[in-house]
Amino acid sequence: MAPRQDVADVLIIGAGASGAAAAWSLSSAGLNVVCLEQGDWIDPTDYPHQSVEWELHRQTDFAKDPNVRQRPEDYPLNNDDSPITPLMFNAVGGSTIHWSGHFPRFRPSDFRVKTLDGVADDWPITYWDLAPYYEANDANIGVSGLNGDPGSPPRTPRQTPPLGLDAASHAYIRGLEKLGWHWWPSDNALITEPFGEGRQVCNYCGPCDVGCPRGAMSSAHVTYWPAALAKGVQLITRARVREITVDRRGRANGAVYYTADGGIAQQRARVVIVACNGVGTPRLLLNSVSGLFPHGLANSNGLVGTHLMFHPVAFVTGVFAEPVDGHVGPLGLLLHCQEFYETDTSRGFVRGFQLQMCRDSGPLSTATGSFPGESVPWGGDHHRVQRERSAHMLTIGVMIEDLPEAHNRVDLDPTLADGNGIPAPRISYTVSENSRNCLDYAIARARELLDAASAKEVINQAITRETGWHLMGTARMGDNPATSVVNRHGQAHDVPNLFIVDGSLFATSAAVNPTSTIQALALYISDWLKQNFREVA
Amino acid sequence: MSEPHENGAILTAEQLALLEAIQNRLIPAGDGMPGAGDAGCANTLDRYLSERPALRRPLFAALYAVEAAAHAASAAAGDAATADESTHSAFLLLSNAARDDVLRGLEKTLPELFEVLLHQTYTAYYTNPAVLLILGWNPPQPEGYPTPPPFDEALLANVKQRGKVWRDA
Repeated sequence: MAPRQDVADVLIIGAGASGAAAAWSLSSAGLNVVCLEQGDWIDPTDYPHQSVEWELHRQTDFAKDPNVRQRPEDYPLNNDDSPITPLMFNAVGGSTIHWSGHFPRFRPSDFRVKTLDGVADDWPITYWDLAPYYEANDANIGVSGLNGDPGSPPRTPRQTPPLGLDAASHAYIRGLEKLGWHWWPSDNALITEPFGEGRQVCNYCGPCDVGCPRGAMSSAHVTYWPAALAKGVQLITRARVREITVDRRGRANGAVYYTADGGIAQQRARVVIVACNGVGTPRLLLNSVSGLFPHGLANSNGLVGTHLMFHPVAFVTGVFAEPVDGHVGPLGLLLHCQEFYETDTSRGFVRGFQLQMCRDSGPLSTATGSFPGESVPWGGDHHRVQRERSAHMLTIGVMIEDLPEAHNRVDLDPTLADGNGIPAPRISYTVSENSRNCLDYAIARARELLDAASAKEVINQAITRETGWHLMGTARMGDNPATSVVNRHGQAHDVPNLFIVDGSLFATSAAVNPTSTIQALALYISDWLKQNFREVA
Repeated sequence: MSEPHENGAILTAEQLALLEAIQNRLIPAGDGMPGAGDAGCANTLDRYLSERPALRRPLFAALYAVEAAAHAASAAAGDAATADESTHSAFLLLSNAARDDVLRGLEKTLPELFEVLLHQTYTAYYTNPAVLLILGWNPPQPEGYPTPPPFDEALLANVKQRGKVWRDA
C-alpha cells in the first residue's frame, strides 16, 4: 500500500454532478478537499461527433449501458432481475457527460407525497428549503429557459434564452394548443448564448447523449470542476474506491482505492462524502464491511440499497407527413407538458407524470426504430419506409413518478465483480401496479397529443428497458433513523462524519429528471457541513 | 473502432459471399440506393467481429441457420444441386424470392439470431460513407445545424391565461 497522504478535511468519492458541486462549494470555504474518481477526463476530441461512424460509437464505446460499453473504468451490473437497465457514465463529470441536460425542478408537492396523497413518505425538507440552492446551482452552471412557467414556483430569469423555434417545436405546439394542455419551453442545462469560460454555445448538432464536444451542455466537467480545481481541490482520477474505512469509534477516516496501475492506496480524511450515484453509492457502502459495521457502512437498519427508484419511461414516437427535422437540435430538449403532474385518483393511480418532448436522431437511429425500437422493415419496402421516417419523426418521453418500495433494491452480486475484483451491484426491481396504470394512461395521452399534432402514425412500447438514467432512493433521507439512512443534512444516522450527496438521498422520485435536484441537494448539504464542520469533523 | 482492419480477418471468403448475399436481401438495391452487400457491409461486419469477439458466435450461428434452411428449401424443391460449387453455399443458389423466404423463416424461428444479422447490417449500412453521401447526411460536428429563430413568447399566451397548475406545499 502506498504511504498515507495528508489527512484531507473532506474526501469526496465520485466526480459527477453531485461530487463536483460539493467539491466546489466546500473548497470555496477554504476546506482542503480531495476527490477520488474511478474514471478519467474525456478529451473533447474523443467524442464521436465528427466521425461518420458516430452512431456506431453510440452502440459501443459511448453506449449508455456500462455492460455494453465495457470501458476499463466501468463496473458490470447484474440486471437480470430488472425490466429497466441502469445507465451511467464513469468519468470526470460522471453521467452529466452522457445526458440530455433536461433540467426541471421538483415541485413543492413532490416533497409532501405522504401528507398530500397518503402514499410513500414526505421528505424531511421542503421545496422552499432547496429553492435558494436550485437558484445558486443554475447560476453556477448556466441554464437556458424562460421564467414564468405556471407549472412551477417562480424563479429568476434563466442564464440564457430558451432554444429557438424550429419545425419540431411548431409540430408539438400545434397539438398542445389544440388540446389546451399545459406546456412550456424546458429548462435545459445547456447554453444558447455565451456563458462561462471556454464554452461554445449550442449549434444544434443533435446527439447530446454521446457528450458535447463544444462544452455547450452544462456538464460538471466544464462547470464545477474548473472552478473547484482553481480553488485547490485535488482530483485523483482512475482511482477506484474499494471501501470506506472507519476508526475504532466507528467514524469514517478515509478510503482505500485502486490506482490506475493496479496498486492500492489510502486517502485519509476528517469527513467522507459519497457521490457515486444511486447504484454506486449503496454498492460502496455495502462493500465497506468492518467489525463495527458487519452489514455494510451506515446500514444498521438494513436499508442501504433498498427503495431503489428509476423513472419508468415509455417512448411514444410520431411519424409526420411533413419534415419535422427531428435530427436538428438537442436530442432530449424542447418542451415539457405537466398537465397531468398532480394526483387525480379518477385516472386510476396516484401521483403523475411529465410528457417530455424530444426529437429524433440520425439515419441509423431511424432504421433501428429510434426510441421505441420498432425497426424499419427489411426487404423491398426498406428504402421507402426509411425515407418516410427519416427527419419525419418526433418522440415524446413519458416519465412517471416511481414510488419507493423496499423490495426494489441494489445489493451485491455473489460472483460478479469489476476489474479490481470489487463485488458488483445486483439490481432487483419490479414495476408496480400503480406505475403500470400510470404508464398506460400517460402513453394514451402522448398518443393523443401526437394525433393532435397531426402525426400520421404513432409507435410506442409499453415500457423501454434501457432507460435507467435516474438512479434514486437507495440511501434515503429522513428524520427517523429507523426508516432512513441519512438525516435532513445528508449525514448518515450511523456515522456522523459520513455524508451522501447524490440521488441515493431521494425519499421520493417526483416525475421529472433529477439532476437539478441532486446538485441543489449537494449545495444544500455542503452549506450545512461548512457551517458545522468543526463539530462534525 | 479505428483499429486497422484487413478484410477477411474473421470471415472466410465463402462466409463473406454468403453474408453479402443475405445483406443484399435485407437492404436491397433500389430507390437510388445500393444494396447493403454491394455497399461493402460484409467487410464492415468482418471488422466488427474482429473488434468485438462477443458478436462472433451469434453471427456464425445465424449464418449456419441460413445455410441449413437454404439446404432444406432446395431439397424440398427437389433441386439436384443444393450448394454452389465455388462457395459451397445453398443460399446462393436460391432465387431472390426463395432467399427472402429463408430469411423470413429465420426471423420467425430464431428471432434473436436474425436480429443480430439485421441490426449489424443496418449499423454498417447507415454508417457507410458512400451511403451517407447519397442520403445527404454529414457528421453532427463541426458544422452542426443553423440556429432557428428565437422562441416567441407570444405562443404561450393561452398557457399563461390558464394560470398556475402546481400545488403549494
